[in-house]
Amino acid sequence: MAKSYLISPSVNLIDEVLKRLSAEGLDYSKNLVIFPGKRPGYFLRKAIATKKGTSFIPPRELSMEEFVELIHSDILGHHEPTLEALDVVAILFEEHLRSRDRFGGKHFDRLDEFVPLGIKLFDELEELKIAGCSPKLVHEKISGITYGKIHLLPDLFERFYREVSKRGYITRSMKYITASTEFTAESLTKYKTIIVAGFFALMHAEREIFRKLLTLNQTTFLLQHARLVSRIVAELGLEPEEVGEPAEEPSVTMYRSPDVHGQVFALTSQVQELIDRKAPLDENTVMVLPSSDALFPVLHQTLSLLKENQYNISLGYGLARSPVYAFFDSVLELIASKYQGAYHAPSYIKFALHPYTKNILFRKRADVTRVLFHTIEAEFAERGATTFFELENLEAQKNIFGKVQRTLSGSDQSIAAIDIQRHLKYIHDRTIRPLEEFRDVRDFSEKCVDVLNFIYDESTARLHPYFHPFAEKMIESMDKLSRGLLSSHAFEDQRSYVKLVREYLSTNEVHFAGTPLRGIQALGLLETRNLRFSRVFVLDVNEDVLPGRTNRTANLLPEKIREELGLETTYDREQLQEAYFDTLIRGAKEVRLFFTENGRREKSRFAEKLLWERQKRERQSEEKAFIKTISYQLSLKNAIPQPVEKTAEMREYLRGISYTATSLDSYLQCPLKFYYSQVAGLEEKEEVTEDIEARDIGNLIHDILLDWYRPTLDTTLTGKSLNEEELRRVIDDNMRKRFGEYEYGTLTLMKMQIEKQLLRFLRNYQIPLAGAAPITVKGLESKAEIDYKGFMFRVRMDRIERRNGDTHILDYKTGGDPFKLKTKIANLNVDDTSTLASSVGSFQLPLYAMVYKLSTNVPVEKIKPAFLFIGKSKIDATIESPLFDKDLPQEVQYEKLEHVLFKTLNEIVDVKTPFRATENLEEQCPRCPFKGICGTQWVLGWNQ
Amino acid sequence: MPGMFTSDTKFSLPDLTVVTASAGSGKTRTLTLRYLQLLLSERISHNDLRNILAMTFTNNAAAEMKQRVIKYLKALALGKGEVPAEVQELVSMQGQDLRDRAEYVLEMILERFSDFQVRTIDSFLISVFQSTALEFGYAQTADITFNPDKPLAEAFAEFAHDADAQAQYSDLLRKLVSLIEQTRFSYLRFLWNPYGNMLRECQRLYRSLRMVTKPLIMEDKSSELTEIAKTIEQQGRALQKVLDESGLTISHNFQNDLNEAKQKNIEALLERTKKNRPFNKPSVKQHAGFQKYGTTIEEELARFYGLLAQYAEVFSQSRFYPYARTMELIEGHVDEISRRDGALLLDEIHWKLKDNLTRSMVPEIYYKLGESVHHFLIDEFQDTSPIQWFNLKPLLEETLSKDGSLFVVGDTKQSIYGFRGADWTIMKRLAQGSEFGSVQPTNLDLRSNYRSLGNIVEFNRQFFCLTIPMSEYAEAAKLSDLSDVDQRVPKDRQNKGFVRVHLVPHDVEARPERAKVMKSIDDCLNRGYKYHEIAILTPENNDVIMISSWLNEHKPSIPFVSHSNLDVRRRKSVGEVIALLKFLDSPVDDLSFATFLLGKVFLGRAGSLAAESLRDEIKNLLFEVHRSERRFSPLYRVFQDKYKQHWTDLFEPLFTSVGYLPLYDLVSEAYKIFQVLALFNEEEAAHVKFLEAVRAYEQEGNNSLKEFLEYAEEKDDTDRWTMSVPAGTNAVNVMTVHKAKGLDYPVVLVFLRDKEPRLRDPQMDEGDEDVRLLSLTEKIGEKSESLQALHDEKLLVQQADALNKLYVALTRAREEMHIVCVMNEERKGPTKYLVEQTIGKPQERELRLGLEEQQTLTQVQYSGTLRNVAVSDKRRIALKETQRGELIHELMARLEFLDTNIDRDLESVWERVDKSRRNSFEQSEILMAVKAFLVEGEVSSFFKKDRKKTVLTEQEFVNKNGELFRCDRIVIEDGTVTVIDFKTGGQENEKEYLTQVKNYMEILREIYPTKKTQGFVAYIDIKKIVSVE
Repeated sequence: MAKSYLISPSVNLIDEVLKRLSAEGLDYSKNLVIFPGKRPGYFLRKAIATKKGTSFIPPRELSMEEFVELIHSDILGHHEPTLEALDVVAILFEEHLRSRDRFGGKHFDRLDEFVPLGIKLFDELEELKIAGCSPKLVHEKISGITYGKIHLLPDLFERFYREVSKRGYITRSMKYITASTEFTAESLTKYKTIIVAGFFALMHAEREIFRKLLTLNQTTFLLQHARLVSRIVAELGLEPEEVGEPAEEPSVTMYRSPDVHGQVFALTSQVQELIDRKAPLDENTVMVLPSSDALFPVLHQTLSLLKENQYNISLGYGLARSPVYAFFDSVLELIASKYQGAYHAPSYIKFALHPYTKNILFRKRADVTRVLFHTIEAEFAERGATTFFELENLEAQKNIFGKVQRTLSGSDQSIAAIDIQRHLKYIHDRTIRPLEEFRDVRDFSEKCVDVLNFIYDESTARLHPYFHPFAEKMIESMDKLSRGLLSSHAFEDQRSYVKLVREYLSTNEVHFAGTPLRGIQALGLLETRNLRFSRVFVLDVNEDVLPGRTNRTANLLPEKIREELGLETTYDREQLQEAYFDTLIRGAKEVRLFFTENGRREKSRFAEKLLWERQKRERQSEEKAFIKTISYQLSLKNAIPQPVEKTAEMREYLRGISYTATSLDSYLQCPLKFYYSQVAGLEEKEEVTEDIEARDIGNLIHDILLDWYRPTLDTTLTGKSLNEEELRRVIDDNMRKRFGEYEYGTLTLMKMQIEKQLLRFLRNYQIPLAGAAPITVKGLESKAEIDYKGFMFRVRMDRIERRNGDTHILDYKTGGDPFKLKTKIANLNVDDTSTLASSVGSFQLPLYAMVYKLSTNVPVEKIKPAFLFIGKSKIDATIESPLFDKDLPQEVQYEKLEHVLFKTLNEIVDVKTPFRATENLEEQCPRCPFKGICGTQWVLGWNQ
Repeated sequence: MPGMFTSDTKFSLPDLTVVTASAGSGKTRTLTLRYLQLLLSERISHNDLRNILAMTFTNNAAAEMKQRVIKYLKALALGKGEVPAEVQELVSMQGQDLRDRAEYVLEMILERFSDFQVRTIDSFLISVFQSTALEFGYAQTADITFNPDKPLAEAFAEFAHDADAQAQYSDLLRKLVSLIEQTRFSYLRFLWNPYGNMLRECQRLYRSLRMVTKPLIMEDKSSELTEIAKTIEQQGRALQKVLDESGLTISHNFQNDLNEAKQKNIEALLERTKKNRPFNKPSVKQHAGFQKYGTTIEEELARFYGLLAQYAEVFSQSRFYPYARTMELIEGHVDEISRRDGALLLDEIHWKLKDNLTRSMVPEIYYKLGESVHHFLIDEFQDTSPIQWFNLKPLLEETLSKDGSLFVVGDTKQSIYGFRGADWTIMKRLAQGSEFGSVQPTNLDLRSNYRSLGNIVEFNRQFFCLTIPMSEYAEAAKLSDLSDVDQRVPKDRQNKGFVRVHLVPHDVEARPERAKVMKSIDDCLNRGYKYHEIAILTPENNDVIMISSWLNEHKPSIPFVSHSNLDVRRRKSVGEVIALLKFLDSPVDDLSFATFLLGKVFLGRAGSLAAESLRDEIKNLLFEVHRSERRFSPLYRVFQDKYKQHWTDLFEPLFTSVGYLPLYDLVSEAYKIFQVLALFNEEEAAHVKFLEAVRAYEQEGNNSLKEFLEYAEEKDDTDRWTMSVPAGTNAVNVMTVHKAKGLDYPVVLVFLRDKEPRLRDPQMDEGDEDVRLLSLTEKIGEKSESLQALHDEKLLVQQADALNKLYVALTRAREEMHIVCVMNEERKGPTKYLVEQTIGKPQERELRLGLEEQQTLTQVQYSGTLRNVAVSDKRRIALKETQRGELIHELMARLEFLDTNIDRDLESVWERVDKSRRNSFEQSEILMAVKAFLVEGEVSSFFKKDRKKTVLTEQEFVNKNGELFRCDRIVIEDGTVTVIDFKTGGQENEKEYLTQVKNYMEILREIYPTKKTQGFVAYIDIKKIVSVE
């Protein structure tokens, strides 16, 4: 009969296995060792190698999964292909549609809706199968439940496995059940020693297999002292002999951190301390990462202290964070953005600027494509809003290719614009267009692979070390999809393909390079099973991680039924994890546990237990003494913008530039802003964004009014020239010019509003005004430049018109605040510059008046500058807001303003006056592009 | 609190207890005690861990309560530490028995932690939903989305797209825009692009509608309104006629009213006051015309106003019909999006439960949940929303009917979340016994204030119990029981504490409130209070911002913690890192590059000691570039030329890998290169939080720098960006009253402004079956009695909310309260009853350590080493070739010796291999290649059958380091052992292959030391073998 032993956590399981192996010289191949997982096998081989000091033929070490495969395939001779989850979904979906009564009524009748349910159903059916349940038994057990569709389960259970067999396939559970029922222990007699080691819990099928192994004398069961093990002992009827003394209490230290990084930095300190005291950094030390949360922080912040051969990571690298996936994500998002045959510009830019796309080679050069796509980006940004466009239209825009050609001409004369045009079309043809339509899943995945192959062949991507393993994995995954049972299925909505592929790919992982037996081990909790480490660091010792999130309602079958059917319950699952954790901790000498504690996360019950054990031992009710708290230095000081001193060079420069209304107003708002824009020459980069900003609307309205008034230039405004239909046409033209052919939600609404407001402008302002007195339009977007009192000025006036012998200079305002822009001349104290900002709303109109006066010799009292507030809700004569107060002599007012203007200019060029920040931070900073330089992001402004 | 509860010896079930816990009376402590009583008692039935469920409103509160339960149990079990004395009175055991029981209960909790149910109401209801999700057509694994804004934005965009295609929808959009224009706050500016406003309004409405239990049902009554308008017009003409005939002088305003009526501008008429009378002068009654026509005029006038009332009522009920229709359409899209994305909105979960959850389902839900709750405890009950209550009620009814218990703690006076759907009337109804007919409640009132010193409590008593009940807010105060706020203070706290009220006039220029606030704080600091002992509370967020800037500008500046300075994106050095990332994402972004170059991060790293001079150099560079021809070239190119070393060391590694590196890796590299954490130690919390935000963003499956940067620009989701404040951080807290709920501080400065509670359109009106959106402006209200009543009713609730907010603000102080109130000229709102006063004397405070609680703080370590992530790399994208190679290897592994009939041998192994691999290769091509190799190649001798030969295929060997190798074919003969490694494809990698076989040979030499070892690389496709020397 088989022998069995129960091993204390103080004893190394691997050593116990090794002790019991028999060898013929260097040949251990007559030993069969079965562990629950693969990893202990590595450690066993290492242990033999250390013992022998030479090469050898290893024992047959198998994980349970491999052992079942051995029985099923090699011993029993079954070779049916195993189905993967997505294949199963295809079969289950067909079965689902075949039933009259269905889960979720009609809610899962589309494949994309069914996928999550299908995967869930498969999981539970497999659990039932592997637990040896029959449909009849399931039916009996659920007969007491009076609600819902759960009663469909037994029937589906039966039909599904019948169908799988009929099609000549097999699932994992079928393999286990076949192995457990058909296998005979005699088939393993060629092994002199069979060791089953380190199991913490058994499934029905495993139990059946092990019962058979128990009949062989050469079988030995090695169990580790942990919770649940008594269950195995009872189930298999073992009478194990105890091995080893009870373990000594390890030294446990706990660290509480406000977040994951705090844990990782504290771990880094520990590792640094090990390095400093030259402690061995070998496989006796483990960093346990029970969730993937801390993996990359540990990799970058902690493991970077070590050389690459000083550690080994068992966790996978998620495909979803690889650049290859990001590339696919961008192309799929672009495809999903397609609306009425046109693509969404921001999505296109995201795709085009991905390094894989923008480095597609043109005659072996990567810079051409980069320049091309950055030019397209600038073109889109200039339009200033979200827009949809057709690829063909973009490919036909010769101005873009001309610009690219000009940019490149410095480096290469041989590239013609037509070549660049062809190149863009070629890229579209090989990346976007193939993905515009697909027949089914196979067609879609094959096309995705083609795109990736194109990138491999024709861009610089392959030169980067981050490309190959991920591209390989991606192609492998897509290949599986295209050959699976789901391959012939088609979705109604293209977005469903995208969703399926995104979800599917994000579950794939690539393994880290490394040798499992070398250096500090970074493992998941499961991987620590059966291994003993003297130094243990565990991160994320938090509820929801240790034990992992348990959701009793996530299963179709209620917990009670699961218990009755012998399926694993959430309690079992938690206990199993505790068994792994306990064995790991109790086998160690030194343990460091790290957890996050904040409003959202609490420490794990496992840590709570250890804490309580210690508190009980030391009779200490306060836990503070046992937990170290990680805390950061916190600075609460806010940055105050620092003034910039002027230099003589700056003075000269500022003397020589042309001043515009915008530049003068920026000084008025904040001298530092003036410095950054006018002296340092910085400006905000225009982005291709989703939002239509106020500035875009302003420009659009200016363009519309320019086009609309243009035919009236030098004529008197009449009923004929103020034609509504014409205004509508001009609006339409300008909308199309700016946003393209496609109108959609935002644009439709905006156009509707523009039409409404400009028609009101026409009816309530312009027509009545033109009716009251003749108006002659004298200038539109009129530019003028003058040199006066040692300064140069440049203006562009929206509209100049003559009324009753006066010249009215009008400036359109679509969004400005009339109150803030109003210049309160009466309040203006010309000797006190501190009143400037509050009294002068803007230098725009005074500047227009001055430039116009000087360049035309029209006396100032005949010049009437005014803002035209087209953005006011109520449109009437009051939208015209004149600069000059009619109750005061205009000339006096003008003199005052001119005086202030030059006072400001002299301040600008005064070397002794540095550029200081405005005193009104709340007003100016929130929208200022330079707040990052000043550090005034903290100034929120009102209504934030 | 002794004697507060029934001892478990007298505990009878079913039990419904409603505890009103005024401010500072120990709400959470009460709940915890009840929880402990239930758990510890050996007399209360069904008190297993899984039968007790405590519900709180926030995760924080749940975590805090759990910790408190554990802490008390530990103290009880060990017989030392802080244990509330009342526990002894609640359970019928003492001494060692109680200690043993506490230990048993504690260990049960630790053992079955998943059954330790202290959770939020929402999380419990989500579980209930998930247990039945499939019945509603959702997979149980569906994700839950808590913030509805994004899905709603998507739904709204789809709706707007539809509107392009369908004329009826575009008409709806037009009406919606018009409504928004009429009702929005800043009506002076024209809405050029109303999309955002419409979306925000729909999002707001959606949230409100999902808090109530009835559907929004409205009808389009435009034709009815047209009809009434016609009648009003006729009536207006009739009235005009009578008035004209009377010869009386009609008042100007009333004539305007009539003119509007005659032009059928009834909506404009509704906006005019009803107080306009036809005649101005009182002497009109003496006029002959009046004597003749007076009665007729009055009758016609009454008819006119009657019709106007009718119009107002219909208008009020239908004005917001376009919203209702839009919401209906959007909901369809929301549902479609939820199904498509497999993510359900929390609000939808509530809604679906409401439609489906009945009491008869409860046992089955419990069955599915694996637990049957017999004892419910609910915290902050006044904040329960109607929909939460509706969904909880069947479960509670079931519990009470099965001899269970319900224990709720709350305070209607502290209900300030009305805008989020909280409805304190539920608590009132429950306390009055009108919620569960069969079980009458025991009402307990916690009247002792353990938080504030006597003078503060007395101030509140005078204000809320004496002053307010005499004011126009009396009724509102009564509504939420605020006028009954009389609290007791333990003797040792009576006549202590300090309250001072400052009233300052509203003056935009002088802002006298600033001096008062700063002086009060300075006074407290001078008397020995530490920064962290002081909190400044104000109802408005704008005032939080304003006060924060005062503190910032104060000399010396006062450290403070507020929402604004805890957001890491608002820290300068984090902003610089973001600028660096923006530059990397778009190298032509000169402004971002310049922002980074002029910042502390770059200068600190590159300039070390000479940072200032480097900053000047960079400034000069910018200036030079701007003046030169190079201004058209990207700034980084100029920098690259001038600062080659800096570029190579600091920027190039990032510049060349952006896009090729995953987001977190890129940011980590940037942090290391610029040694951000080491150089900016004082900003440690901000930078760690930033790294944490990047990690979390990536963890959610995002992997795009561009999108991350967009996400970092978003205003919402600030939790993700908010630094945690270490306990004991010495800084003044500045926050809104809402944030201060549940908190207290030794000194509280309350900053208030006179503000009159007003109604905002639309108002939600719940009927028996449905909900309607009403237009209830003051002007519309006065047109009809029923509307007026409704208006007043809604206004009363607003007033009660405003009073509650004031109550919460005035009850946070422990020792001192300073109130600064800005008075408006017209003095409106409840604050107008505050008067300048001082109660008590300010105390000198003992100087003591700044930190309340000394902790063991651990220093953290940063690694400065750069690390590229090494992943296994095969260097070729050749899946098909790899698969073909694997297939051929598998075939070869199954060939021990070859028979005379090679074809038969090969076909036989093919069948087995093909069946299990599901490969897509042509059998004939593969077998032909293998056969050709076996027949024509030099390898055939190794496959000849020979009894003396032992053949091992795919044999494993381990070297002395424990590394495993698998050899394709080993042939062992008398004196020789031969290893053959098969290769498909050509000889391109021969060097690598030869090394591999040499290694095998070395291993074999160690294992078979007496035999001669030889090795071959066998190329199947080119039918060649190469001997390894």
